[in-house]
Amino acid sequence: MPKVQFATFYLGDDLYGINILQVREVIQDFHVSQVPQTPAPILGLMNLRGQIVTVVHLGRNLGIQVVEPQNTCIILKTNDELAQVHASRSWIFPAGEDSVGLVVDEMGEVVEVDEEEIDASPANSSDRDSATIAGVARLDKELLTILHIDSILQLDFLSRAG
Amino acid sequence: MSDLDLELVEEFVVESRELLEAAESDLLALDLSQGAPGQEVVNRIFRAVHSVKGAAGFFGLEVIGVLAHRLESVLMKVRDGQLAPTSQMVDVLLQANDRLRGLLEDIQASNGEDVSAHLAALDPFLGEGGSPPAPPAPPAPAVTAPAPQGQGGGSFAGWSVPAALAAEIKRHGRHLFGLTVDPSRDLIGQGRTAAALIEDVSDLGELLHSTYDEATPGGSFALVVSTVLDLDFAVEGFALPRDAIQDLLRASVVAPAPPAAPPPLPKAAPAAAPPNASAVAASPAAAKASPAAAKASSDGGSGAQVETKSTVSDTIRIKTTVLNALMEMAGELVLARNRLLRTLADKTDQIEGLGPVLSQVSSITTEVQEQIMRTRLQPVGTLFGRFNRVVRDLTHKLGKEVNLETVGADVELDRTILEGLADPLTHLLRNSLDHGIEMPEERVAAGKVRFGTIQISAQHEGGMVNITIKDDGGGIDVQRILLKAMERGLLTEEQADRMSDREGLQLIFLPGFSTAKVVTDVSGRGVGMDVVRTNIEKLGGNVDLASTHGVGTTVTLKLPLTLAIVSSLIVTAGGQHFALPQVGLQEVIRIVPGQGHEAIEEVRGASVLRHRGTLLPIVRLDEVLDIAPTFVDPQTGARRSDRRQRIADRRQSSKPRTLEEKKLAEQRAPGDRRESLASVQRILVLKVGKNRFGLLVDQIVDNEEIVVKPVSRFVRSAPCFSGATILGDGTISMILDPLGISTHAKLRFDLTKDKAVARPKGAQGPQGEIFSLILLSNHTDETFALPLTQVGRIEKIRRDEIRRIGDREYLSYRETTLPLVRLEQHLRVKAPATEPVEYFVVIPNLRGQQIGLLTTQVLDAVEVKLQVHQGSVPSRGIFGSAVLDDRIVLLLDIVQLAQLSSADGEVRPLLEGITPPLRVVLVEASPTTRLIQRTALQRAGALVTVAEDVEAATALLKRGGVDALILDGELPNQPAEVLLSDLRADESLARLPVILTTSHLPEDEEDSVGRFAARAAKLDIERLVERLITFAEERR
Repeated sequence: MPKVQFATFYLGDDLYGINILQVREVIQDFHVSQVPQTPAPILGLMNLRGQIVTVVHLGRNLGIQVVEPQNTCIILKTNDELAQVHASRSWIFPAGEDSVGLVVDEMGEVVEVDEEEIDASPANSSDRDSATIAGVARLDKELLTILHIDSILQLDFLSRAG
Repeated sequence: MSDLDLELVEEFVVESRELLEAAESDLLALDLSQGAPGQEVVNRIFRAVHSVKGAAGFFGLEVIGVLAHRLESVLMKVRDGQLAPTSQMVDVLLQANDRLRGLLEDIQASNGEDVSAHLAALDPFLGEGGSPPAPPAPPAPAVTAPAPQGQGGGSFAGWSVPAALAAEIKRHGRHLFGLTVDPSRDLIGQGRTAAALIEDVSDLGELLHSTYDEATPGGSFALVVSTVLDLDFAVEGFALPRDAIQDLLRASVVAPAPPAAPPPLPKAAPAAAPPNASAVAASPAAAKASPAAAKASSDGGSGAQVETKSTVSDTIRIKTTVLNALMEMAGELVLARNRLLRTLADKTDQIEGLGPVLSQVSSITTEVQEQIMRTRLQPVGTLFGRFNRVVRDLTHKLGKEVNLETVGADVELDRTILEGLADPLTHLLRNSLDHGIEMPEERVAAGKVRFGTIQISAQHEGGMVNITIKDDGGGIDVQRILLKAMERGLLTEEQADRMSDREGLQLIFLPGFSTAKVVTDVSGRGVGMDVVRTNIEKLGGNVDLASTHGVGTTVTLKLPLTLAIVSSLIVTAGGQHFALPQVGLQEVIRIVPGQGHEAIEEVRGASVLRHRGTLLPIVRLDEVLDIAPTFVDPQTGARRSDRRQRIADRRQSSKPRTLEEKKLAEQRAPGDRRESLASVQRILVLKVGKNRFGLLVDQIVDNEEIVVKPVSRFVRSAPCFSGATILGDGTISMILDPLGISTHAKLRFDLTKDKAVARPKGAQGPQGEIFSLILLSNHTDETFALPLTQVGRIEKIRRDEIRRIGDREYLSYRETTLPLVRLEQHLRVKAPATEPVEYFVVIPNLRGQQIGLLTTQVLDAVEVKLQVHQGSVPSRGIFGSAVLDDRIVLLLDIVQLAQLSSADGEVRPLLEGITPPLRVVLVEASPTTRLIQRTALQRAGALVTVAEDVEAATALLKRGGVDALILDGELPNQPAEVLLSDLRADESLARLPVILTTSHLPEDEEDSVGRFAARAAKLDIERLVERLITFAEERR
């Protein structure tokens, strides 16, 4: 059975993951310029070596209580960059054309998961949660929630965040 | 194959490789966007494969052609929506694409390769009946068969087309052309590739067949094309000489079947070579048409290569991605330069030699950026060219007779702007054709010529490009617009009555407004002018409309030369920084606390400012953006509770910035013209379309050239911004969009009258120090300034356009000869170190002697607060010097410069001959204007006494002996009209000539101040003097 590598990170008490092929880089200690008139989870814009990155407050977007300030940001690959990836495309959920960074509490390890070990989002999760959960991997010690980046970054999803 | 052929094939391989590489990423994007592919992506892949297919046909690369054709067929179905892309399908497409790329690697052997597996894999997507026949495949001559018979002129005179196909084409009113392409003349000579030619042809018609004949010297291509264009347009559209295009329907070459000629398999062609080649070589016409090719055959090729290359050596092909990358890097360079200058600004005294190096780095950066920017410029002619087609098609459809004239096709604009301009311009043109130009009979009945004329023209004006579309049609009936607006409930009858014609016309820009009597499929659905306006404003431009009922309509678009780098003010509101492009910025008004309450008033909660005789609606930037105002009290702060969370974040993250600001403020403290933090507010007067509003900001931090960066979809939805930029200090700032702000603030301009308030009661905003200047330089450390009001036009010319007669220089300009003036000839300033290839000619709007100022650099057009340099002494040709951003700026006396450069070079007072000299009292609030006007009037020969204020002036006047008063019409809190009537109350001054000067002078108000009084625009010295002369003559 094929295995998939996930980059994991913590938000609040729980462990979340995204396919490592989607991660461009992880940066610490960054400065964000706010942008008025944007949905609450949009923290603002970051200058990443001359490129403008939209920074998303993942906790606020998913309704997870986090301890501020967070100083870790995962920069996702854009569709163009993803197109360079010639591996299997399973468990990849494109972030779109724009450069996006997700702010998280801290990074976890990279874990390799057998696709068989991944379940669908629990039947009893809320509508909003089930849209964001692509699957749940059963790791030895804990559960890894694999995020459906595509849905999370939809504009209407962002604008409905509390 | 000859060297030339090899070169072409090589080019084909390189180009195809690029195309297919791009197609691959697009195919991958197609995979990611499954189910709902972007039409653009599909089109791009389709075109890439199509070009490869077409060019492969040229070179007899059958296998590549067949595979590309099959691939194209599948893509066509995707494009037309008959097929939705699936992962599996994309896989197959990618494999076929890979295979094509593989074939390109060994092009010579490609015809021996087997691609049947790939063809079979593609077939299932084509559904029943498999694939359509593949034209480039060798057996295809059943469709068309050009037969090279060499009957002279080097053309394929023996075209043969099946009668059924020809009849079909004829029945559809299309033309069928045989094209003979001479590679050295039609491809290399024009700097295009075989694929580009195929693209040109496919754009304008349907390519039925293409072959390559390597037998003729240098080789030649034969193409069969069906198109709607007639011969004249085909010559233009395909960019081929007329004798290379043969009308196959007219020429009786339509044969029932091709056997008359041997099927021209490219491989078989050499067999027919000897007679064909000799026939061509013997033909003088052919030798003349392609000397390089003829030489190639006699010289053995290698020498010819050098020659053909030399003809194209001044242009090369560069991928746009490279240009865009360069462009972006130039932008970064500008930002880095700004940062460098800022960091080292206060170190120049400490480090010897730093200053000059910095300014050199600075000017080189500007130069690099300008040059790179120029690579993005394209002549508007490329856009105008396609309108011929639009006009031709539409006039036929509508039964009208219209002439299209284009002027200024060589004016250049940024590619992005040109692209964005295509739709709005087409729309305007359609409007003119459909609604503007009347039917021929109507025109004759109205006493006009049958032929309507539409003129599209482009010209430079003040750093912008004006594009006008002018028709001599029926014009717009304002009454009908008003009626329509009332019908739609957009306007009450009372409002309509009050509206002027000009205001009525503006209604046309309201969404959903169309006055077409009949909705045609050409236009008239009411999705018109508002979209045009929005699109143009998105490009940073604006639209103006003028129309006279029965006479015609003129639409003027004003556009920036480029979008990429924009001169902007950096402003703050609620502690955040924003960039405001200077394009729509008209002026800056300072609000000083204490006086602030006097200036801004409220009408039922709406803030307004009395300004130039109208009420200016005031929008608070922090309010419209819904960010907390921080100017009240930064410690406790009056903030909205629902945003507290975010504001807390913000304060935390922006702390260093605040410190930096404090430091900056301290540095600037004494004698700085920039105000300290938070004590002063600024109102930026912005123009949106025809309307103006004031944007209230906390402070203006800086003036920066910013590089516009696109923003993500998350931020794009924010209505008040047009993009983002990275400032010199590395932080990101959003770029404000005046149109978006006015819309978001719900300003209802459409119903406001231009002059809502009868009369200002005084209390105009404090101003008068603000100057619109154009800054010039000769790439030396001297900067020259000219008030923008004195600049008529700025032209960019090449050095070789300057004509010399004796020791004088001239420019042929608009059918006149303009004497050129170099500043270093008349002023004690440095000459440019080198002779540049291009100059800027500044043409002032002088009434008398016309001149052109020759400079090498136009630095900027700026709205500035000018500080006249203490101890500045006027000298010949200049009024004095001022300090601007720490550099010394020389204020040019354009009138005197014109005299200095006249035939005899003598400076004559403008008031020459008027004796005794006129005694003039001058009252002027702005020190700079005062300096310029006083000096200029003295130079004109008047005796000028400057009075501090009106009281002092009145005292002087009462003593008598004064010939005229020149009175600042914009004195703070002292409306000119009131002053004038007070003055007239004194009998001795009742007949005193008075000239009221204002910074902005509408033409129609020039003479509206009664007898013994006149108006003139400030700094318009010639007009001032003219008025004085009139008064002096009246006295005698």
